Amino acid sequence: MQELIEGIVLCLQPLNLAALAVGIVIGALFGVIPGLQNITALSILLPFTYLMSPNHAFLLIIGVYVAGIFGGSITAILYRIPGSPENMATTFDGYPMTQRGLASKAIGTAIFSSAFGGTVSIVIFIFAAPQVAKVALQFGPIEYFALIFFALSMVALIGTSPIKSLISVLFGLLAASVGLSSVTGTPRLTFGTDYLTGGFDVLAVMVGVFAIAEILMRITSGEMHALKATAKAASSFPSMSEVRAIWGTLLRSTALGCFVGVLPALGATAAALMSYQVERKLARSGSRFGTGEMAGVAAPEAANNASVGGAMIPLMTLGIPGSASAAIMLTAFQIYGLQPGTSLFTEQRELVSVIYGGMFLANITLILTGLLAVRLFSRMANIPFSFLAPAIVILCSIGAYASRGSLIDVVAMFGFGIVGFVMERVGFSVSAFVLAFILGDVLESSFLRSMILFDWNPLEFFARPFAAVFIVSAVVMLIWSCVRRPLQRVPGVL
Amino acid sequence: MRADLVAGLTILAVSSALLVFGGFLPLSALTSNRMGILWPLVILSVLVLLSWALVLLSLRKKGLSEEPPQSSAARRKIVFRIAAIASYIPLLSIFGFYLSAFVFSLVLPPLLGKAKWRVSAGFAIVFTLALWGLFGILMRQTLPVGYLWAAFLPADW
Repeated sequence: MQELIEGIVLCLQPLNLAALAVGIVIGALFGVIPGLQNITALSILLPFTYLMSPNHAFLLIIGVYVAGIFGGSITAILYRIPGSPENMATTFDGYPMTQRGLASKAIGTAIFSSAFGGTVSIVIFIFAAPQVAKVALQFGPIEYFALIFFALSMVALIGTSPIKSLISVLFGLLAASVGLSSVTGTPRLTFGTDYLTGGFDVLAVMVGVFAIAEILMRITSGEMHALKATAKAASSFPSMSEVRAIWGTLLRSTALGCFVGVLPALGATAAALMSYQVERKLARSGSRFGTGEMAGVAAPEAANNASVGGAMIPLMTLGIPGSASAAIMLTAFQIYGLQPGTSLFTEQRELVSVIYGGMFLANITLILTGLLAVRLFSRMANIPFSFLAPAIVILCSIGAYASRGSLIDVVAMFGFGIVGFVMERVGFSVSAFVLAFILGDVLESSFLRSMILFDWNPLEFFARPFAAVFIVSAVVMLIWSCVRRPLQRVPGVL
Repeated sequence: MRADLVAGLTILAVSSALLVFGGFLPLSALTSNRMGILWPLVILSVLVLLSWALVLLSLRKKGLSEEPPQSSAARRKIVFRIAAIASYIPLLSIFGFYLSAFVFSLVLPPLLGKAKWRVSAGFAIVFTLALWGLFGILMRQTLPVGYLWAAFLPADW
């Protein structure tokens, strides 16, 4: 708790506060504009964090991460168009509330629930992270291989086609393997070129598959025009009696969201949908869900924001991102040469405090942002996409170029943009590709190091209890995902 | 599921080509000091297997619902829009960052939507000036100069 207080004090310094505020505004804007997600904003901003101190960079990223998930709820409630997939479940009861003339109450409930879910999950994160980090201290390459193998196998559980999910993971691992092996220094798939010897630039890949692919998706779908307003944007917080009525929903959804956030590959969208379904089943007035029930707005909004705190636990303690947005944050750690794990908590205490404080303040600031700027944000959804597209492409190009000063990275960014676009169109998982790309190098090096330790006998993995449990679980999941009936495809989930 | 079939065959062809031409063969090259090639070799081999599975599954699902086919005009429009976005790379390498940003933000809005040229020109001017202020003055970020201007600039630029 001391770190949290120190972090809040540090975050209140003018430049730190400015970085957080800018992040919150950018995140909320990208969340509000349908078709653009907070992951797009994160991938565009990531290259520019090179120019900042780690504290400023992480506060900017945290602001975008937290506010981006909330921002999309405004258009979900006012227009029935979720700004981001995370807010899809918010449309189920948010828009009916708007139709009943309760738009401001719905937005107020969304803001309150987001801030509640986010803040409680941060407190859980602050208490849980150091404990998990202590356990992670016992991990060697064998345990890391098993854990990452398990995390990537979970991806196969989601989506309609396990084969496509697995192929997406393998694409990511293959792209990460291009260049020199980090263990033996052997060149792989370089075809004698200098550019490929250094491997693909992680920023060019991220910006390409998220931002450029998103632009291509949008311009090919023909959605170029602005949204038409159906109600006045305003926010009115729930009264004490209304808060009492949704109290149980908020607690359950926050707990579920936090738990889902910890699990690799699921993320905020799954958290929101699952908590909505749970509340609908638990509600005594179950039949009113879908017709403008306040709990139907509170559940997904509390859960999707709570998933952020949950996702931070494996990210900061084990270096395993729980979602694509968390993968971007892991890349930010890599940019600054920081290794998530116990050393982060002992050697980078100030940064860890800033992250705690930033996440806490970002959630509190959501309330202020929502109260003061909800009308402005709702108007941003009216910007025609034909103007946003060139602006985003240009900013992405600066980002891809700036990281290594190479025009080839800009070409690679467009190339990966087309790869991401095609994957999305054909039903492959871009998020799975990115998670595998980010974790590929650690997975490979821990595998090779383990094999060297085992004198190339893979059965030795099963002599280690922790590794055996995770590898067997992963294999069981892979087999089960291939034989079961595929789950209903959820847009935005891996 | 024609898209799945095409995707499966493409992945099969690309992974097979990478296996053959990627320097993995003959397998006797897999000596202890070149163990680094083991990892991509395993990945490519599994990819080949999974792409076969995707092809077979897509053949079994033949006849299931497909997306309605697009008209050739709609398809041309999509290709044109993607080409318009991709045109930014040659623009950037020839004209440099600021001029290409101006041209791109001027031309693209009318091409993608129904923006008026006058509005688009105003947007292009304001946006380019904002970029110059932010990256050129405030951040002092080095940005591509472009072949066209490179000849006129001093060698140490």
